Amino acid sequence: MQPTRADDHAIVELLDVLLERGVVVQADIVVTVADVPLIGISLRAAIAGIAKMTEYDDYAWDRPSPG
Amino acid sequence: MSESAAADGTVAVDAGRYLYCLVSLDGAGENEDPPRLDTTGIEGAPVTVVESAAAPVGAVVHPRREPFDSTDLTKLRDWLLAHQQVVDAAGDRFGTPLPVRFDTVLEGDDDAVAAWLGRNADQVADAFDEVAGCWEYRVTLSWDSTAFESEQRATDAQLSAIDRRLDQSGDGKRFLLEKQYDQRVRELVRERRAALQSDLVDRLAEQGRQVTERPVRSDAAASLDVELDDDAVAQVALLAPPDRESEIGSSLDEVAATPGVDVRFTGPWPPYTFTTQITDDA
Repeated sequence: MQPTRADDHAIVELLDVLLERGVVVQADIVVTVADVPLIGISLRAAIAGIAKMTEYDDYAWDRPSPG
Repeated sequence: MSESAAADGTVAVDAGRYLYCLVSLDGAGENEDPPRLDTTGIEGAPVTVVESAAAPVGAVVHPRREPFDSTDLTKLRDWLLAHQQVVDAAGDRFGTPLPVRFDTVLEGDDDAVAAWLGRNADQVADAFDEVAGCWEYRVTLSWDSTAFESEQRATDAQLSAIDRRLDQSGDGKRFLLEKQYDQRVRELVRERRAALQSDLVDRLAEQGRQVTERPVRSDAAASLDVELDDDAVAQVALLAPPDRESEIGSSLDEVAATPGVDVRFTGPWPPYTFTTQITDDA
């Protein structure tokens, strides 16, 4: 099988990863929202709603592999 | 920090930069001064690459005075996808980027970002060394245990023994034996799930540079009403060079041939799972 970025589930997974993963910057110059660093609480709470949105057609997710 | 608190609790600074990712300027971008990225950011913002004077690395940014926050789902989705598209464009242009967690805003102008990069040049260089030439792939293994349970009911010696005792027991005893029977089935399913999980991790560990298991249900995913999750046995992130894709795929084909098993293989992604913190004090 080949890896894909195109199916709906991959996008749900991506949104989840975007909110939870990636380099975390710890520095005095990081701007926070109401003392909650990085991510507003509403973002996290809203992901279930995002997952149900299926109109992803505008986005070119299925990309050739790098290298 | 010179910032003003608004009535809704958000803060806005006089000048800031939204940070998408860090890129290595050791390769593709080195002959271009300054390095450019032909894409637009969240809400069409102009994206630039801020270079560090201290090391061949850059930060992909756009001007932004406060973090993004909204309860409008369409907006949130668009922000997240726009963030990802910038990181993708950076990856195409400069090679494997270090993706920064969504909604990271640094106070100050381009010079402040460049100074921050300079202060942390060693950590950034180490982080690039970890992921160089590799991308992230994610594998979810789901397993429908129905067929396995039927098979075990027919073949497992302990279940057969309980079955025999059930035939000879009165109602009170039957209740306890039925409970024992169900417990044994659950135990067999649990053992099988653990075996499937460790087999997957072992296979992927052979193929990639790093392997990390994610919880099957993260806090955020726990609220997702996705039927597949009930059968999810393992979610594994793998850091691997793209030329290993077909070997990884072949290995996953073997896993997927197991009755009841479904494998989803996604990627290539920026290495979100294989990056840590950049800390000023380190």
